[in-house]
Amino acid sequence: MLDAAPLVNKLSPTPTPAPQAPTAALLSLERLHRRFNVGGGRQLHAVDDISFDIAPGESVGLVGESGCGKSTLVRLIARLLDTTDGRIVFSGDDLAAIPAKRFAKAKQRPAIQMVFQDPTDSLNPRFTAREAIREPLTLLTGMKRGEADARVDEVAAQVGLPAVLLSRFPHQLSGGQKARVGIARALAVKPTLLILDEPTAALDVSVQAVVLQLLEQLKRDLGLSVLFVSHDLNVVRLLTDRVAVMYLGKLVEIGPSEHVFRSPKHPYTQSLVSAIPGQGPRIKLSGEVSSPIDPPPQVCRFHGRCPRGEDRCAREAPPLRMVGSQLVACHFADPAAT
Amino acid sequence: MSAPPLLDVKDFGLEFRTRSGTVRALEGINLRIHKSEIVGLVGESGSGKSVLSYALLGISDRAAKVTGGTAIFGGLDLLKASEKTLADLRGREVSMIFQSPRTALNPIRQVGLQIEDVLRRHAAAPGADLGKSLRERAVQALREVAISDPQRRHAAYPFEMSGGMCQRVMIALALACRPSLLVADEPTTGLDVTTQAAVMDLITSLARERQMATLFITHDLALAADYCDRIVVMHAGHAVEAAPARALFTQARHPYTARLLSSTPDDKTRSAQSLQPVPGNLPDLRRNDLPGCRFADRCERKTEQCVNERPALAADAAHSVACWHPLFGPPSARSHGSEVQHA
Repeated sequence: MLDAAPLVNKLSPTPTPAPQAPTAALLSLERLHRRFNVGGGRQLHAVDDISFDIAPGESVGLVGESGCGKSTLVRLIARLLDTTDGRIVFSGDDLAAIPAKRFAKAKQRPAIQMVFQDPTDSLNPRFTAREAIREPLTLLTGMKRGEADARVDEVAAQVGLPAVLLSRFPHQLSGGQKARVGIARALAVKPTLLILDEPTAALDVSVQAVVLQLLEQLKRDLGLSVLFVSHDLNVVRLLTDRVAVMYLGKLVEIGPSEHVFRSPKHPYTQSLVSAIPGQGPRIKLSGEVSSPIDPPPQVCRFHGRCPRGEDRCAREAPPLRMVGSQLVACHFADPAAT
Repeated sequence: MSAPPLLDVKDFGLEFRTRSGTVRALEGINLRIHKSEIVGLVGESGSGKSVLSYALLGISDRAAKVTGGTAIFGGLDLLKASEKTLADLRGREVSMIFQSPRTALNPIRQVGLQIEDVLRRHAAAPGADLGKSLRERAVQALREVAISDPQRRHAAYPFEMSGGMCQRVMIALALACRPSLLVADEPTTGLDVTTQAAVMDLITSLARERQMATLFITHDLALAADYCDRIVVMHAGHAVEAAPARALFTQARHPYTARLLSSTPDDKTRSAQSLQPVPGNLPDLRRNDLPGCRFADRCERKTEQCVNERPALAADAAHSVACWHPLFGPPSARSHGSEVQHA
């Protein structure tokens, strides 16, 4: 049985269907770049030629080490940061053409909402829960106060926040309740794309479980598209349809979450998955992460740390190609490997 | 485990006197750590893990008051030792790795010099290699935690290093004087899984190499299971279960441990709806009417006895539980004076 699976892949005359969304994408990143000047004419390549889609109702995970460019990519999509090159096509419009400074007034602004990492740090301590949730409504949709308050009640009920808590300040709320306020605030303006940046990192496991259940249910009920950034790979696996793995500004692997976690193809993803606590033997990486400042374009970014690294990897950067059900940027990725 | 434990904590209690009332932060804690052993201390925030470790090092907040018990370390009771004795002990015999290395390190002092400071403070430590200069020994300490180019990194400031690298410096700092007990308080929180694994590998391999005992504090059960010999689970200031790491996962005996396990997603979880969160919240430890078992109000197995009598953890059993109605095995033994006295 185990031997038969790769054979099918080799013999199959038609290419395996791309992991990209089959229907029209809600969000399409096209060859997105962001470089930062770091002085002396040198540039830091934070996001380097990234392309992928998110379909309506789809949830995509984004994982990678700190410093790999996850946050920069999120800030580009949320239009908090200008792109250097490439397109961000959202519902047919290229958002990259709108400068970040003017995006606050753009008509697409309410459609992309973000839930931030630490619910304690991301809520204004002098706003009650009601004021925090109401603010985006009055600012972005121009609702009148009464109308906005009705919407606050509606969305608070949706996230399971008891109405009596709406008059409280953040310091009077528990971690889980603050997380609900953060989610309600993002959902208030009825976004089509929700970006979750480590939404449960600051929470205890039992509170995290409740928030994960809420997110799963909201995703299903509202048909939202979700971009889910997290360090906790078990949480990503649970909440996403597909997962994208970044390494030093590059997309190194993307595919259905179940497949990526069960049978990662890129050596970096393999080591990442093996490092999840409670798993079997680990693939240890040696060497240091290479510098993201003016990286040589012909060298694979993972070269020097890769257990496989060969001469070819230093001469020829691997492009993304289909391996099994995943897109993988490695010369040696093998559909048979598990 | 016939040798006497390196650290033997018995019936330890601690409270904080605050303006809004007395917080009964720790009660009846029993904890033993043997030489070369890695013990995990696991629980949610507010369970008293850090309070316990701070108390052992004598660095508790001023409002803390020890209400009873002993903590014998090498013949010395840490709870009664003078500040001078403790100051000589800290960094030399007992060391601590703090949660966020960027906050714990001095931001305006080169990391090599910070290590030299520790070495200078404990210059008379046994085993100190006096033939070498402080600088050489600091560089050596950096090399031992696998920091590349330690000569150059000696002069680096914390902001010039990544989070994982700063944590290595913290480890070098803690281990510079070769302590016999290391307390690691959430040493990998905020680090990536790959960096986390590298840091944990480093701590455990150095611990094994030097036969150092380690108290590893974490809220991540799976991580504790990977690296610890034994795990102690804490809830609301009580130690509720102590067991060999594997046994805790296969046969959790305390209902709280079982709930903690079932609320954590792992590679077999298919849907968030299948997670079973712990019901309710931690009790307010300022309450005067705290039940004997502080998990009672969140527990579906609660009886009259749970409210009236405090179950205690047996100090010597391999797998012990502080519960009157455990999921497996016999309940806690009744101990003298465990009836709850309501103030």
